[in-house]
Amino acid sequence: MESKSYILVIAGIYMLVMILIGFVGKKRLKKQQITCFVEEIWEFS
Amino acid sequence: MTSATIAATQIGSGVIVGGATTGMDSGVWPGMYYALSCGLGCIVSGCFIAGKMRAAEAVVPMDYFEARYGKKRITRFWAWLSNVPSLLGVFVAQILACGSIFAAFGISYTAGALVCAAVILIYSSLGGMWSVAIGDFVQIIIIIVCIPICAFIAIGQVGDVGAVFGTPFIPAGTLGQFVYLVSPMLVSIGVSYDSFMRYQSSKDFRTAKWGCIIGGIVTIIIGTFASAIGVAGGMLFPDASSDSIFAYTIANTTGPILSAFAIIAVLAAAMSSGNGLLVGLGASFSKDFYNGLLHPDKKMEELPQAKTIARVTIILACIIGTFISFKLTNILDAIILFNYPYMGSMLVPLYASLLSKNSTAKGCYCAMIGGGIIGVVAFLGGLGIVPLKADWGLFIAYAVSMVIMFAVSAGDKQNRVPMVKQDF
Repeated sequence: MESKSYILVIAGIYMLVMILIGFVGKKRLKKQQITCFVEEIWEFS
Repeated sequence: MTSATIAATQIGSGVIVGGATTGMDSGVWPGMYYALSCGLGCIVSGCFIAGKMRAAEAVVPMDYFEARYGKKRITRFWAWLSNVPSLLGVFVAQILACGSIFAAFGISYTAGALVCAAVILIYSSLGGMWSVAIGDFVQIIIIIVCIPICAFIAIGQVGDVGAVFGTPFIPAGTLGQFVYLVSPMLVSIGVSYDSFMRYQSSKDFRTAKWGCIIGGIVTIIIGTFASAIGVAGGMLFPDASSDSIFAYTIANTTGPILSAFAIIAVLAAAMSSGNGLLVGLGASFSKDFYNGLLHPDKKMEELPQAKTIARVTIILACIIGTFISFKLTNILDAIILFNYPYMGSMLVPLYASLLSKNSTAKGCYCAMIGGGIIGVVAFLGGLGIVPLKADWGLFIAYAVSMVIMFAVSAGDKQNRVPMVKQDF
């Protein structure tokens, strides 16, 4: 497999992991009923 | 976690790709000046700023200022207005970097920039600071593992460590350049929104303080390795262009898998800087504009639309930033200039509210006006709108702002207000 293919595969996996982190974050924030952007950002470290 | 997120904010494409380029052109130490600047800025923030801000539970830097000197709508308005282009500009730079990384390997710039912007948007807008912090942690692990390994391999192929590192820390005749490159970030990181949001997300003031210090040290170390890759690459491939020396060296000295991970590390660096800028923009619109300017008498929890505004801001900023990145190709210098109005006007007053017992509200407001005028003029000069050289504009703005602040405060002794009380 050439370098370009490796980059595409690894970049794809990386992007999927980041999207997954987004969805887990949304679920977590909903569960704890905290907004994530401003007033209670110090609720999580 | 805080250290990782602070380091991830600072380690962008500038520290890694820029560091390697400068390393090849000027030597390993000049190549790490920018990383040194960012790293020392984090350490200064940790020692003097982050603990106090975190203990005050401020949401944006202006909150602490207002807690001491009272609220003024016009100040909030200016903090918001001057900060938006600054954050948006740096976000555009990160998207440009993402697209360019893909383009260097024959993948469409547009597709690369779009995918990266979409991924940043998804995880920043869904999970907010939690996802940003976790994402940064993943990204910094990739960077910490890949960049040093690649540096060791490249230096190993050169076969002479002394040849890579054995140059003067400040080459003869470059002291002015050293001061110019290292000192601006030294003081501005503590009150820049992207770093501010990161250390404010830590669990307590001690974590905020030590997170900044450790994050700064990590930034300096990674920047040094990146620069070393550039120097080694220059020795191994003297005919290669310094602009692409990072990717070129990695591709020709490491295997395809490690090479791919190293490229992902640069991508991760650009994305982690980009996400923080989006969240910073969200905070600026919801707290400075919506709360501070439109509803100054209410608390954030009484404003249910604040979260929606922050989220919509992030989405719009991401779309606008990505669109701009398609229209412009060489805006990095201009982006630095977009920082001038905010930092020129706000840095000295914000520091004074945190550190100076003798500063007064009047002194700070006059300093904002003086520093702001110079910052805006230097900004216009940098854009070529007025015939002025902008290089030293920020320094002059800081100096004038500080002189005004102390002079006016000295004549306004009767109106001194005590420091904000904090239990730590």
